[in-house]
Amino acid sequence: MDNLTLVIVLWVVPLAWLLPILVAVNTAHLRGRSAVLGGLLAALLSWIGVGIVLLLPRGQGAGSAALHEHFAPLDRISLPMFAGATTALFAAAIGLVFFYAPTDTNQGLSQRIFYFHVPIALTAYVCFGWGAWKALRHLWKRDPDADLESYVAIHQGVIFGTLTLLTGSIWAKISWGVWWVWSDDQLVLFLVLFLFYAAYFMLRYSVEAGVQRANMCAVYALFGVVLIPISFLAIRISRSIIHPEVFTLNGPQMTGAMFLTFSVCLYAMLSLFATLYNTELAGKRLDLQLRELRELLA
Amino acid sequence: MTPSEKYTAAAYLVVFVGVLAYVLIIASKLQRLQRQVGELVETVRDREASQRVEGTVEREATERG
Repeated sequence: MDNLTLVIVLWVVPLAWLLPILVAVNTAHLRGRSAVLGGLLAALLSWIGVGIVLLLPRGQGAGSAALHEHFAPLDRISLPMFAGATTALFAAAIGLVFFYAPTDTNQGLSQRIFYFHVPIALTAYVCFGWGAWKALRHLWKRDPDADLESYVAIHQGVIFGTLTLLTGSIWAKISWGVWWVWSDDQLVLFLVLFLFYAAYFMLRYSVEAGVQRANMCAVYALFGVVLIPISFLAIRISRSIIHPEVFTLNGPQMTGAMFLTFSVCLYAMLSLFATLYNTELAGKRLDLQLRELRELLA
Repeated sequence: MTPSEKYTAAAYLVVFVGVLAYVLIIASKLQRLQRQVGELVETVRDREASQRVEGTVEREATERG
């Protein structure tokens, strides 16, 4: 597989799935639930396809070596490609947020915080979910890289979680007049999820490195994943008035232009996560290899 | 600047400062790794040099003996 094919598989195909649907929604101003759900489903399917391609080189069992050889260029080009895509998507996102998306009639300019705040929160969920998936891979398949990958994903999740809490607090201050509302289930459950995964590092650094630590951390990461759907569905369960429900079964409660801007911002944040995740992972792997080399030379 | 503009700017600034701080931390870690690689290269070079000296001494001793 050459580099051009990889670029097509990883970026052009997902965007080609998403953009026509977004443009259709944008021009028709939300033609209804089916169009929006269809768009989201198409985007989800394309990203599952991308995920399968990304996971294949790390597969176990017969034929995995051949697959690894087949997809070897992926490892070499994935990081610069992700970084380039992140830069391009962020440039597009900033342009759309400040020069394209209409100003909200109720909240005014401060509503534009939504375009970064919500994608950051969703990316935090993705990070924790990815960390839990890798934890499961560690316990189930005994994948040797899974423990480190789970740790890095959760680390990224805590970073995105911190940004979610900070941007959310700033938005709360301008919209509601307070930095924090303890009576809002969505806020409190996100904080619980954040603190749960922040405590993961206390557990990890209190146990000596080895199989036992990896197992304990994997079980802990898997327990936390239960909180993700609860936190995500909190608005729907509590029917909170203060924290409005933007995505309903009737589609997103916003104009097509706003939804397009939001989607590009979400892609930008997911790309940022992929870039930072791969960068940190490369650094951690290099650190481990260096330690091993030092021990061999001692 | 209106309060709305100030808070919006602050929210976006927090995100960019956060990402930049993370990049700074990663950059410092990479610098540390680079230094460690340099130290290991030096160790290997010193070891090779000492092995070469030992080999020369042994050869001279054999020739004399």
